[in-house]
Amino acid sequence: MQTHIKEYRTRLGLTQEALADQVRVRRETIVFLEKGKYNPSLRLAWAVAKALHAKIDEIFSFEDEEGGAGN
Amino acid sequence: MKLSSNQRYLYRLIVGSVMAIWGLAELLLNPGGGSVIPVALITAGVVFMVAGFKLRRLSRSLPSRESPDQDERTRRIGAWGISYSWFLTLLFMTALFWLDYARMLVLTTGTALAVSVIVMAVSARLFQWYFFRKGDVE
Repeated sequence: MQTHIKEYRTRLGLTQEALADQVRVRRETIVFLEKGKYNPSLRLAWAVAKALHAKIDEIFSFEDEEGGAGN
Repeated sequence: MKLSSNQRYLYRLIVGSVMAIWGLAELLLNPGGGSVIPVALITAGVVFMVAGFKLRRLSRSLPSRESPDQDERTRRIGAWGISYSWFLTLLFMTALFWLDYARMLVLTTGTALAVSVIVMAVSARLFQWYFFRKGDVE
């Protein structure tokens, strides 16, 4: 999984802590989300996308095992 | 019922105190009983209290903000850590059974139970620590 959270977050001038407060998670969760090491629930993914004023598929993307980019 | 950080630390102190006092009482009332239960209770009680003090001190040193104690990631990791620990303890107790059956290792019931509880508790924390460092259970 790849995320563009950091890109959108910095564009909005949000810190990790501020984003975590908005979506009501711990800052560590945002850290691991940005690294692509945590698979969020649909609810959290939606909340993050909403906080970043973007669509879910603009923030999160999955690569197929065959190497193609996910839609 | 969601507990605040202060309430959780207070409960840890209370539970730890009760366990330590209970262990002390067992030692004093049954001296020379040979059971590991009193020592285990005292140890666990002290660990609970120390953990409560340390976490309270840590939370006070951090900037005050409304950070949730738990979120979906911590709950998921907590649950999976306990699940892995349960399975490991099941394997451990099965091994104990067969070792006892083969007369290779003979333990009293109390000792076997105490050791199993320690294995379950320690392995749960270790699995959770590992998953927290990794970031997710997958």
